[in-house]
Amino acid sequence: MRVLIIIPAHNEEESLPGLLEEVRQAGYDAVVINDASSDKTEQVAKAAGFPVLSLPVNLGIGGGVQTGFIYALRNGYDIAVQVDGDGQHDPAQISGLIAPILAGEADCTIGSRYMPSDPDIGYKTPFARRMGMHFSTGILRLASGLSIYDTTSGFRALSRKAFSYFATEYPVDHPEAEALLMLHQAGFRIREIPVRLRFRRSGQSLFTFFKAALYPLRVIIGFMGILFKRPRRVA
Amino acid sequence: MTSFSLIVQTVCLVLLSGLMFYTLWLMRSGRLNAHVTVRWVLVECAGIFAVVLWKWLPLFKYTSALGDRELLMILAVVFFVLIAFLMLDCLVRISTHTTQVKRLTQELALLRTYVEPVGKEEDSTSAKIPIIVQDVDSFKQINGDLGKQDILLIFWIVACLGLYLWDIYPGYPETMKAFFTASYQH
Repeated sequence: MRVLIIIPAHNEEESLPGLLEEVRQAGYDAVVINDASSDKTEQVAKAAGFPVLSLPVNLGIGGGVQTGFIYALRNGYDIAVQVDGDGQHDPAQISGLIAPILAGEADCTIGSRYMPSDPDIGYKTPFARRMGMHFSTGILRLASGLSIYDTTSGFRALSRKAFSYFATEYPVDHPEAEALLMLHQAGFRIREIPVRLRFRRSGQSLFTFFKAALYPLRVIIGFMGILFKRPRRVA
Repeated sequence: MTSFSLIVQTVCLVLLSGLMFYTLWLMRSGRLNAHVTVRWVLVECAGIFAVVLWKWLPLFKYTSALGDRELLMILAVVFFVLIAFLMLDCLVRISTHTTQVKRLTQELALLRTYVEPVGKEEDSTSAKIPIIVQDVDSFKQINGDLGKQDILLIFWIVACLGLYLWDIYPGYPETMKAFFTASYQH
């Protein structure tokens, strides 16, 4: 089974070298999606010896990750793992994340911080993000009946079938919760795996207070868009 | 027809005509797509047509019972709906283009990964290969040749200077003088 780590990065020149070194030590293939960074993200990733997909204009996290899925599809990978470029996700936990996919028990696994059975006590979620996450968890349950505790987690693994589906259509802004609804509608199996997150090494989260205030509105519009669309069953 | 509706009719006609000319001007200056222009011009023509036929509108069954103000309201709503349809049409185009730009951006990034390794291999041999593609200025500097525009410019300057000198020369023929000046029309 060929596994590809997709690392979307926007101005992550400081976090990337350490993360890429960890990925190398873990022995996985990786591709860095440089989402029109203004710093040396591209050079840093190239110097580490990993392929870099440099987007000439900023597409946001959705467009960046989708580029990674297209790359994985065209290069014959079986599993795609999304890992944030800020270094919060530990590549050592990838083996646990992809285990249910390898066993054929799930098409998508989410690295979760808030699973009641094994919560990440050491990770302190900012208030605005916590509110946004509760909101998207509630609305996802309402729309699909899915009980996902960490809807905003960007630490995910997808089977070939699932990322092939996302290579053709993927939400643009804050796509995490919408992507789960899309997977559920298409008939894919989703599973949460408890993980431990690290604090970001440098830089700032894109999830600012202003964005957090608009997040519920974006989620509602995004969910309505998916629900109004004719459902596409793939799995 | 009351004086109120006459004033409204005049204002509407002036505004709609102005809007139509502006639309046509935008198309002529290349800033508005021809397909979009046709739709907008059709709607503007429909608006002008409705305003021109204003006094005959009460002849119709549904509008005969209405007064000037109600009729004006209905026309305004109809026109607003038409404009809203046109705007939706433009938004559909924008959405399509956004998706296309996103796809192109992604394809460009993916293509670079295939092209760049090839480019790196060729770097070592690039010193031996002479420069094939250059911009016009550097090409002129290297070869010392004149471009077509330069020749035309020199010809034009020489012609102007020649005609000026000929003009101040006492033996300048009157017929030629008349030909090159406004007096030719008289």
